[in-house]
Parts: sequence; structure tokens; C-alpha cells
Amino acid sequence: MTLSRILFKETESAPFEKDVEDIVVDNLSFSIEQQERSLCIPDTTVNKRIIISKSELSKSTQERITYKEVDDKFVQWLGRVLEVNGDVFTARIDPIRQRSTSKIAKFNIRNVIVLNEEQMGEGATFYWTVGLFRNAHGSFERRSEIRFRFPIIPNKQAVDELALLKAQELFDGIGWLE
Amino acid sequence: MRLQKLTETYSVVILGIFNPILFHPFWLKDKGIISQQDIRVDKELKDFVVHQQLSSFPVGDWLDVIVKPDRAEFRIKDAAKLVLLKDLVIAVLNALPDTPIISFGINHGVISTLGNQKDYYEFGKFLNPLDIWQETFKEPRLKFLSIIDDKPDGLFQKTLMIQPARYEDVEYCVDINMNYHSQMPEATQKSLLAAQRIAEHFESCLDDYDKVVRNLMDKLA
Repeated sequence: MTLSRILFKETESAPFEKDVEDIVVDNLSFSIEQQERSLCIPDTTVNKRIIISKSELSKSTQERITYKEVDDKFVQWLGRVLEVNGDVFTARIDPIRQRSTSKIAKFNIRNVIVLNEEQMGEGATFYWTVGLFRNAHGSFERRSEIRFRFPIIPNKQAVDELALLKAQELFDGIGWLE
Repeated sequence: MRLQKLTETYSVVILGIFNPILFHPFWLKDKGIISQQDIRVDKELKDFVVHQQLSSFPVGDWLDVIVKPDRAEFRIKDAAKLVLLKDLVIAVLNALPDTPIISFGINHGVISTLGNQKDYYEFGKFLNPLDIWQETFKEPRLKFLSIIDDKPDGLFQKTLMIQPARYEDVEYCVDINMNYHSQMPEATQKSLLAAQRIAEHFESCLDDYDKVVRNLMDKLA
């Protein structure tokens, strides 16, 4: 297990087939439907919309919607690139702090705001954020962006030290009989 | 009585021994922690200081870094950037494996307005009964409230602070601020252990803040 895995505890739960849906995210424009209080992301490729209902939002986000109408409303996924094919890449996306299922999604980089694009490649991880955000002037704007993460490459000394610390922690937790 | 949120901040504050002059956007870039796009060195930038006693600069449009010899603070205002804040703090600690870390805190503050004088006063009275002071004060008002949990679950001691605040030209504002403080054991004041604690408990601290605020809102309603 690498240090980055230890530190980040990424959403690496086993992808049960029933939980993984195939979707194509080709057009990331979306709307907030106030009546339904849900985020809707049009999926132009298969002519349907992905609807994230209120019940799928994290508990804290639900509370914010209930108590403070002026709060940010967004959903976020952690993605891992599975395949890059020209301008399109396929990724597994896992929800962050919201109740939703893992999905396999295809992104066209010409249609999305991509930050840290130089990190893109098979195995790269990224955050995909979609929602309404307050800008510097206090008004809301719609935004959808993908930001690739920088990998943490720990040195050997760091891994060894952390392993020793954890071992000591385990040792100290043992109730030795006198 | 209703609190209307105006702005919020999230920060991670690390107490330890730092070399402020080391903290420069190009150092973060060199360590693979931020991208070239996040480096802001435009001449108009007023908040850019890199000095032996203080480094203070923005990263992109989402993060403020303030480092002093005994303290490093990383602060954001946008909840959508929480995942980036967590990644960045862990990466910085990972890049400084020999730096002694004494303690760290995860903070979340929200400035809200009560909207009018009456509710502003009632909010203070709701938090702490003022009637008991009527005989000895002419107009008793709550100035500052701090609630500490000395027996928290896990590694964090939590402190809630509520006090009057200013936000632009909006009146009757209050700042509700929560600090989750974790003291590092003396024998293992290692940055990597701090990084691991942050990795494991960052979200649970934020969830706890939501619970505290929800509870307050329920009581207010």
C-alpha cells in the first residue's frame, strides 16, 4: 500500500456491478430546478438527463438547502481516468459527500473546463464539481469544472517513518498481561 | 429569528516550527503541489509577502497561505474547494517530513446577519440569559460566547465561538466559528502523523459542524 493511499483513503470501494452505471457526460451545462430541488445534468448523447435528487445530496447539503436558501449548491465526484482516446477520456466517478452511486463516464475535454490538464492520463485522479457558486461579487453563477490532482510521491524515509509510527501505535494499544 | 449566511471560511492552521521564506508559490509548484495556473505574481497583487518572518500569498483564486515561524494557515472561502484544501495541506506536510508539528486545527467560520436590531439582541439573549444582569447592568448584551468540549470523541477538542462580526456594510452580523484542535503526542510530533490525522478526520469535523449548526437552527426555530 503506498503512502498516498494511506493518507488519502480514496474512495476505492469495490465497484459492484449493480452500482456502476454507464453514462456519457458530453455537455456539462446543467440547471438547478428550484421546484424539485435537484441538480439536472443534460446528457445529450443519450438524450436523457441525469437527475441528482435532493435525497442523493449529502445530509449537510440537504440541511443547507432547507435552512439557508442562499447557500452554495453543488455536487462533487472523485474520478479516476480509465482510458484516454483523443479528446475523450473515460473515467470511473465516485460521489464525494453525497449519496449517489459510482458511474463510468465519458468526458470530452473540449466541452469542459479542465484545470491541471497536464496531469491527465490513464490512472490520473480528478475532482469534478458541478453546481451553483457564489462569485466574488456575491451573486450566483453556474459552474462545472474538472481539476486533475497532483500525485503525492512520498520518499522512502517518509513511508518508513509512518510505518514505524503506526506500528508503535498498535504496540501501545496492546494490553499486555503482567 | 433567522440567520442569513453572508460568507464563510474554512481553514487548516498548523502550529509547529516553520521557515516562512521557504513558502513561496514557486516552491509549491516545484514540489508538485500546485500548478502553474495557480501561481499569481501579477504586479497588482497587494497581499504578496515572502519574508523570513512572514509569507502571505494567494494561490489561484481559491486559497490564501499565511506562514509565520510558529504557524502555517491555509484558508479558503469556497466549500467546493474543501477537497483541494485537504489535498494541499497533506501534500505540504508530506513535503516537510522532518518538520516538528505541535498541533493543528480545522476551522469553519460563517458570518451571518440577523437582519435587524431586535433579532440581533434576541439572538444574544437566546444564547445566554441576560435577565440575571438586569439589576447590575443598564443594557446587558452578549459580547462573546465560547463553548468548549473537553471530552470529545476521538482526537479532537472542539471549541465553538460566537461573536459580533462585520461584513461589508451589512449590519447585525454574527460570526459562528468552530475549531477542531488536535494536539500531537510529544514523542511523535511528526508532520506525517498530522497529515494522516487530517486525512482521516477532515470530513468528520465538517460534518460535526453541520450538526452543531443544525441543532442551533432547530432551537432557534
